[in-house]
Amino acid sequence: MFYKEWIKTRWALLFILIVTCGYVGYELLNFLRAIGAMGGAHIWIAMITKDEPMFVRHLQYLPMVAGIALACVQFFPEMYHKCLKLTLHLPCSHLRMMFQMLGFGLCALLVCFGLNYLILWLTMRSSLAPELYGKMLLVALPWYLAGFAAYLLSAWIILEGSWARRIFNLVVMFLCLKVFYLSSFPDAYVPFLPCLIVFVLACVLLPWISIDRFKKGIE
Amino acid sequence: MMRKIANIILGILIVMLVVWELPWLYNNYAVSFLHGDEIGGQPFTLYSGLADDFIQNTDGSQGRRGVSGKTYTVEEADSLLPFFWTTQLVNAGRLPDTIRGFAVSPQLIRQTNINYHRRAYDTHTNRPNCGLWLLLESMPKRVNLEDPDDAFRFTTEGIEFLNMNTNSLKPKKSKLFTDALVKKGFAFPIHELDGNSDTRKDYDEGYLLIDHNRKMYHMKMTAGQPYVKKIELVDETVVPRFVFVTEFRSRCLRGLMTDENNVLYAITPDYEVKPIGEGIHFDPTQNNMMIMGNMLDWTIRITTAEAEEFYAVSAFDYSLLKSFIAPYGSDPYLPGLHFTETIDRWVKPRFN
Repeated sequence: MFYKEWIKTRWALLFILIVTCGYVGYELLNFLRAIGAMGGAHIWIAMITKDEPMFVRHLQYLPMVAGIALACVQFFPEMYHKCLKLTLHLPCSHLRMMFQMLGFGLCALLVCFGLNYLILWLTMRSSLAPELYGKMLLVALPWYLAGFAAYLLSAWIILEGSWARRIFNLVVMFLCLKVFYLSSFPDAYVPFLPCLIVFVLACVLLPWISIDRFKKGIE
Repeated sequence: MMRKIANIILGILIVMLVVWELPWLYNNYAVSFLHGDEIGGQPFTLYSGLADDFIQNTDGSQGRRGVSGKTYTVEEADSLLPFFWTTQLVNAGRLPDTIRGFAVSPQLIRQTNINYHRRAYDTHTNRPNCGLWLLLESMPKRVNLEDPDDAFRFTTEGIEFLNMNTNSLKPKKSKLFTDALVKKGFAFPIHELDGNSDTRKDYDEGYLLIDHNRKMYHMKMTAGQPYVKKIELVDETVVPRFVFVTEFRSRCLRGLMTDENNVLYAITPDYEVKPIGEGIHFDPTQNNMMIMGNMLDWTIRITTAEAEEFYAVSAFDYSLLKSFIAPYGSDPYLPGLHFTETIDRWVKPRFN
């Protein structure tokens, strides 16, 4: 199952990896250029006194787009080429197969997003105090969690057979993702992060509703 | 079984989204149409010592209303609030030489007027804080205040200064300031602090600190050396909770303080701590406060969840001159799930 998913998504994954790391690199270039031009003290003062997500703000919607893109690449062929019907005829637990497919996508996103975080951390820690780079990494965390949620909710929508239900799911997805973008105030989400993680974990079960309906032939 | 659990999760999700979005839509779009007259706070209100009345900007250019019931023409209101409408009175040639026996001039009025705003979301408990602070040199060699090249943090054992250009610790300066604080009896870790690192202000008063034992201190940097002063409270039952540096141009205050019972105090230039208005209550975590004052009296507006409270206090001894509380009318807003609030900067679920 993992190999099948890898064959299906490898080029898309490479593209997502290059784009997200490229964006992170672009932000870090801006950061290093600002330090070179104005000195570290100027950047520190701006980060201490301003309530803005400096140097990572362009990453805001990137993980969400990456999550939606991966779900599209992974699950559109399943529905379009009727592969899902074949998959569901295999003598394996359907639930296990769904978890394997979603697990592959989540792991791929985790590697991609983890690499983004690693690049950010390695670059910023040499010039900034832990309080400041921690602030940068924490402000981006809800956006990266939105990437995982967007992937799972997109899978839920794509695997749904009925168009009316797809539109309903799309509205639910839009409102759910809105929760991740209510504030760009640094660290504002800290008390809410455990709830967001639980929400993302709960979303793993939603595609099962679509698969169950698909098995019943609801279109 | 798994289908059931998935449907339950979806059901909970939909209920939460409905409880969040429907009240939001109603409160943001329908309330202003249906209850337009009931929402909105008090108009701009200032205490006039000359009229012994709070004067409100209620009637636009037609006139002003006092909360005592009197009405004033615009010209009368200008004359009754000479410290606020100074430019208008100077233009009309109507600024008196003395007000209530005190000689005044436009320059003196500008020098002694104070204006202070404190919003609940400014309070450290109501907003994320990275834990790094900036300490300015309070006696700079040049006229203007300058940005420092280091930042500081409080640890459990002392204060640490970090060189912002090299991202490294400044051990000498850290020890110097830690020793100065310890010498005055400061107990780490810190409980609360407040300061303003904006270099556009007139002068720098450094930071007001509350230590682990709830004792109050004043710390600033003067010619590169630490200046630390313990602020003694006459009444030992008073436990400081929050402190606020004011840095008014007139230097009439060191700062403000609230205690565990949310009583508001003034910290005078000679470090006396006096209750304002015989015990005005201000909870910095829930209320907004505005102080507009002059050399004779202050108008304090405290906005709580239930009412707007106006207090007039003497600028000399902070005694209460007059007060006026305007409760809000019926609440037209629908309760619902919210993730953000106006009083803090946190994103978290709350139902109200």
